[in-house]
Amino acid sequence: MIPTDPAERNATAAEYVIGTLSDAEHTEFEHAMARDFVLQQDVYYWQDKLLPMTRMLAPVEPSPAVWLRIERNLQTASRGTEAPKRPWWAGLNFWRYGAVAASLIAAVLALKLIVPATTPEAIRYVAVLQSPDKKDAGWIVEASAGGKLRLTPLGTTTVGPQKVLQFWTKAQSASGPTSLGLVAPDRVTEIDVARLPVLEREQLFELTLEPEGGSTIGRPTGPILYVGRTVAMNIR
Amino acid sequence: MPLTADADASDLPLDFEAALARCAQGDQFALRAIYERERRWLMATVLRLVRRRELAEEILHDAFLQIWNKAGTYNPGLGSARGWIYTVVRHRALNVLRSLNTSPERDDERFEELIDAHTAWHAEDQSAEKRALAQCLERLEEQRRQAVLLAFVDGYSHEQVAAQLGSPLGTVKSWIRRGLIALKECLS
Repeated sequence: MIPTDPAERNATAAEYVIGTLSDAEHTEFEHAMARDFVLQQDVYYWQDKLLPMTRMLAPVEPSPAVWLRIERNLQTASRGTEAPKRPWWAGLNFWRYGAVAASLIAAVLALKLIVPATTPEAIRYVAVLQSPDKKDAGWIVEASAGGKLRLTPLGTTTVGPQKVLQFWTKAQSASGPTSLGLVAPDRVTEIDVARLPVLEREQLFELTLEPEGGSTIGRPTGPILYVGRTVAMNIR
Repeated sequence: MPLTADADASDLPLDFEAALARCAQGDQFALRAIYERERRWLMATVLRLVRRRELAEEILHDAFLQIWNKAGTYNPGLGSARGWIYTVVRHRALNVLRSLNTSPERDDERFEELIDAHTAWHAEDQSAEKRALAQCLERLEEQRRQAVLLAFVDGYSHEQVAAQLGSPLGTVKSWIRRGLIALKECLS
């Protein structure tokens, strides 16, 4: 349980940072942090306060092979999101015509049903995020409980200077949105589903345009660029 | 590109916040710049936690892929990019450490070394933040300080700290928690 007393909550954030929470508590904390701006502030506070300790140990040179491997795997990972390996629906021009997007969700779902699922028993949730005027489908959200949420751009979203894209979700019952962080306008973003307050059908996801660094008041301050709700499907 | 090409650049200042933002936009050079500046300190941190060089390098590799993938979740409005990076790397190492389920052997020599290192660090401090943290750690009760340092620097679990200090689990949990609360009061 995350305590309610501010000093105790701050101490739990400190324990999260230093790593003495149990696995279950660690997961619970990340879950709570995803929708609690004050907990996020507490975590960043401790990260920075304890940072000088990292200079307490004598530096150790890692093998040059480490960077070479990182670089190689980055390239593999980047290539994975380039055109030849993009999912079939990402390359289709007609996604631009948002009016048909909603009806196409059904097609996406139908196809996924006959594709062997990696997690056979998971309920998957899919949302197509469209521009508010529904003329433009810009992003796809896919997630299943206990796994990763994948936010995939269908094109490049233009973000002006000193502006960033911030990703939000709102459960049906929630009074306001929860920030899921800043996202790159042209890249797949993956988020642990554990960070979401909930994962359910009709859950709202949206991308807003925010000042550099993102909204710091816990709710969107800029215009909604793309928005959509999840549909659920069972995979056996 | 050979890694040594930038060797001289590794001591130059880097805007870590901007570099992390560029990582989120897919700029591999930004990730490399972060790696160049921090690799030796991160390696020391991870090696201290897992104690095996090969494993530490594996963790460093995995953690940098995580930094790359999660860079967009960093919120520069809340704190430093370096703080965020160390949390990603340390949590990755602790995750591996816990999954190995090995208990560190009781090792008084290593523990003394830690306290010595801590004292030496205090003597040669430079920045105000470092000095403040060192002074506040000094002010903690001895057992609380030992418990916090074992958890943070060596990645000991509550149980491992209890075994190392020869104290009951509940007592050790309280030392760490009260130690952190006292540390915050002192730092604020």
